[in-house]
Amino acid sequence: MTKNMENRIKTYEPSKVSEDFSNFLIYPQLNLFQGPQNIEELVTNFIKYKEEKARKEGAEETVKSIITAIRQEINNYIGLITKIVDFVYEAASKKIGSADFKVEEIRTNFCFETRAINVLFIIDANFDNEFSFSLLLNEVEKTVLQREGFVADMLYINKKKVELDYNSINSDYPYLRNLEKKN
Amino acid sequence: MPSDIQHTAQSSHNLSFLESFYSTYKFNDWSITVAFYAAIHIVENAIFCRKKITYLGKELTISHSDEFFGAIGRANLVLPKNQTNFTHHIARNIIVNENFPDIAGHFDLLYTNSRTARYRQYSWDKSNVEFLVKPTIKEIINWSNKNLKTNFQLDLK
Repeated sequence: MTKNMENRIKTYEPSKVSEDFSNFLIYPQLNLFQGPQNIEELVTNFIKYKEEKARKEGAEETVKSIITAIRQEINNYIGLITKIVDFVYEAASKKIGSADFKVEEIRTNFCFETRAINVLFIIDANFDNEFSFSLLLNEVEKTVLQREGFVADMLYINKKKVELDYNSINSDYPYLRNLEKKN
Repeated sequence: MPSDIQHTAQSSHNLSFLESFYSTYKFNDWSITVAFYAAIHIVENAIFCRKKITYLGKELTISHSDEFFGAIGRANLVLPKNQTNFTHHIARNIIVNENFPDIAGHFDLLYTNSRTARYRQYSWDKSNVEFLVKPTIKEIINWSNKNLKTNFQLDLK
């Protein structure tokens, strides 16, 4: 063997000589399997591998699509509650807006399983304005049911009348709408 | 399910109870709650007498608010998407909101404030119940006496 020929052997690359095979990519994949004895076993293992891979990819895709759908549901649910409370806040400010009426806090308790809409408004109002606010909540509850198909349970506490027990309120309605950003 | 006779008897019973202690102003939280429970029976009596109520404009036949969600299903109407966690209070509120708009605001005032009185704040001063209980329950009583030919009486002095 001449010195030139030795060099050619050393620089040999298997992929280059495999170009004649239409499916040469199969071969690297076949190398993933340990100890095949004959071509039949090789093919069977390869089919099994492909099936397993497809099943895995299918499951991953399904999980991904479920996660995407759940995320979308959660976004829609949070979006709906946000839309409702923002509407109430704006409408109350416009319709009732007076020195003797203020929405102090808006709180909710998300329940992603039941998609319950439980909202608590803490207001500071005289009796007439409290009554107007109560009527507004009734109207909004009716509209949410008609247009969105959701039952909303919207309560308020008039802090003018009572001393608030924030431990209880935080526990039942832990999420607070940031009204500062809205003002 | 209770009949109209039972509902009116229970309303009258609750109203008498309210009269018995209201003016002492010692149990203002209970004044609100008892007024609310009298109002519940007035409303249930109205549902019983009417038999037919509407839900989103469609007619349903029920004799008590407990039958509400079942009736929606039987009528093949679309149930609310978050129907799983409703109490009979929620069902009644939906019925009152759509079917008895003249008292919906008053009923809601008692509902909301009785929840506050029961679970959030137990100490209410005299002026609060004077503003809240008297005019509200009287409005509901007058509505029932006028529209359902009932004869509820309430004398809170």
